[in-house]
Amino acid sequence: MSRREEFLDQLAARLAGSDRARERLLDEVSGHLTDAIEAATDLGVGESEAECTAVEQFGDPAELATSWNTTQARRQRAGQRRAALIVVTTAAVTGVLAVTQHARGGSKETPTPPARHGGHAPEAGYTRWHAHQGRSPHRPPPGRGS
Amino acid sequence: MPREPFSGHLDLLLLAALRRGPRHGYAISEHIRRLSGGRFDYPDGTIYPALNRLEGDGLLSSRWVDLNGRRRRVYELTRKGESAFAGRQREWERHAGGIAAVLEQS
Repeated sequence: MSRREEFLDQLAARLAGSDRARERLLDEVSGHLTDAIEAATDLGVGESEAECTAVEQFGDPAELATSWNTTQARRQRAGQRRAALIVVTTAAVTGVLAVTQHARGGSKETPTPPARHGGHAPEAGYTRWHAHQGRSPHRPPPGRGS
Repeated sequence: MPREPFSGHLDLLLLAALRRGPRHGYAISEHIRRLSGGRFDYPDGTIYPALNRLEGDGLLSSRWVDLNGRRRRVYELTRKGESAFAGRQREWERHAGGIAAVLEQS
């Protein structure tokens, strides 16, 4: 096993968090080491020496993992707080709307407009058009770019 | 020339390295090392947790790009990051100016 593979294995064994986050860091570190080794070999350093230097320059995998795990846990907690805030805000807005509607006499049902003969509901038409185009009317969730 | 740890200044240096456009981790590290004349002694790996933290704080964004057939994750300043850099730069200049004034006049 090369020094570089050994380093990446040691780092991988110590990383916490989701598979996606761990894979992201490992891919970044791997790319970094590739660039560092290539920069050295371009200057005439031998492949093996360049690899050792790049790995040594990168530092202790245990220290990197500890530090990265701390920042990643902090990011996850922040994400959970944001999600909780969205839920609370949505619930509050829904409550306010319900109270407002009730105050305006929302207990009376809104009259339903008469259906048009021969027409399709908008959603049915939208769905039918997409089916005709061979596509889903529902867009996939936006990619996160990572 | 003795090399110094750069703890405490890392965030400012990382934000500065991204001031003129996106860079990936190795390029950021080389930029700081080259422009500082090798004054800072730090393992390259140090920057990754810091980049992750700055991204979590909304000062940086990152994405995968293809660079000459290689997949690299590049970081760039967000608007919030640009503003934070300007503020921290002013803070650093005041700090350095204060120390310089005491050294010169003592």
